[in-house]
Amino acid sequence: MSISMEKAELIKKWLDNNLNPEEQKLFEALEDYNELIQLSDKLKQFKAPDYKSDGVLENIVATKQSKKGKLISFNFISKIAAIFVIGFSLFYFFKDNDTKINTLASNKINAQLPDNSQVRINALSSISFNEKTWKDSREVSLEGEAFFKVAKGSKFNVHTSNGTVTVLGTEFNVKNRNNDFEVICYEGSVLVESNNISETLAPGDYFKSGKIFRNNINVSSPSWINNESSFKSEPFIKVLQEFERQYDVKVKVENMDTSLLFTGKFIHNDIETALKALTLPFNLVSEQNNNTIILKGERKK
Amino acid sequence: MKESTDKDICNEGLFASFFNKHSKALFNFLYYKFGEKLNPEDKVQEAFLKVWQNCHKITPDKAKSFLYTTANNLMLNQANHEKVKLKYAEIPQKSHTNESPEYVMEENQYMEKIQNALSKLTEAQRVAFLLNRVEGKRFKEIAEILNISTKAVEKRIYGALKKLREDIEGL
Repeated sequence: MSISMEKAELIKKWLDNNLNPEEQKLFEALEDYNELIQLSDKLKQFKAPDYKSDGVLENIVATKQSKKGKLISFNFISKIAAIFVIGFSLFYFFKDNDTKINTLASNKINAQLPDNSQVRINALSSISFNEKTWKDSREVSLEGEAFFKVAKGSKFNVHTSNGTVTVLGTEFNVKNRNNDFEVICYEGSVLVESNNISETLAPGDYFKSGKIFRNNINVSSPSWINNESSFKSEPFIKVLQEFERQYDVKVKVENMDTSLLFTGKFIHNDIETALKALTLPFNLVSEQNNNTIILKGERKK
Repeated sequence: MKESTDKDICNEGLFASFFNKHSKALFNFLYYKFGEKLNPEDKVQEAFLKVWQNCHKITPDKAKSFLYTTANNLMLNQANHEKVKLKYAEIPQKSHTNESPEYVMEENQYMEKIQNALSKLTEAQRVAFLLNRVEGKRFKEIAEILNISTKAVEKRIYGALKKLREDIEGL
């Protein structure tokens, strides 16, 4: 029967990993054999990334515990809960209700403000604004980094712990991390007020820790929008901090001076390539250990 | 009212083994079906959470199909079923140095052709096909995962292979 077995049957059996030795020979003699094997080989490269299940189960099981409590006396607790819910909702109805948007590490999101202004929020950042009073005053608080495309209209303020950015209708990026305060204007004009300094930025201007650099930027949006982080003469430690935010990992450095300046960029969607971009210039060796990456200087002094 | 026994999966140990048995497979299923853009990882967690929260209503033999249906629905809610061009890129670049640029270029072109052809398969074909070719699962195992007959699996996979080869040659 094997001699007359059709090609299609052989291929199906091969797919099911179910060829007996005799059939295997017939299969290998097929004219399509090489092509099939090559295709099959290449397909392996489309493998799904590893599913990281660390902590997921614990999270899920933890949610249940609180539910069990409610089951004991659902009626009683639900009454109390209802009172609280009503109380809080009244409280929030009359008080201002701030909308807050947070991003996690290695996570970026687009948000829309009530007037259709767009905000793209970088990893580990948060913005908040009040929808109720939005019509009267456009105020946004920011921690971290975000790129704004502001719709034309009244004054638009971005408050940060290091200063305030005021605009009319424009595109700009604000970075407020620890003591780093950076504003880049891409379109329109932007007023920056920080530590008694007040500066107006035109497109291409760049404000960083109290200093202004005119016509320094010739791109239309920050690189992180396109899933890259680029740096120009930045201390390496800051680059590593951004790397940690983008990949949600911890980076440790051994045998290396992290105040050395780094110029270059890394991408956000491929940790291997990104690591290479950081390690090659300084000749570092990287080791990954769960969520920690250790970078080692190679040469002893 | 009966307290949690073997009739449902509220028992933590039972749930943990259920999670360990299915989380990876569910992730692969969602990834091969919908691609990476819609956060299959999050959906896996959400789906298991739904199972856990509804554990009183779910018997062990129904749990798997509940899980897959839930995850699938979560995905569909988000995908809105528009034509998503699936991105399977992220091909691990080996750092071989001694290959000629022509070879590398041809290689890349070939990979792109495959990627293109994969995105043209139906979701049903793609899932079955990639579980078979990439994960090395046999027809019978895939039939269990997808809850369809072995014959149907064979049909999907063979159909996918045929379509893929036609596409790659035709390009």
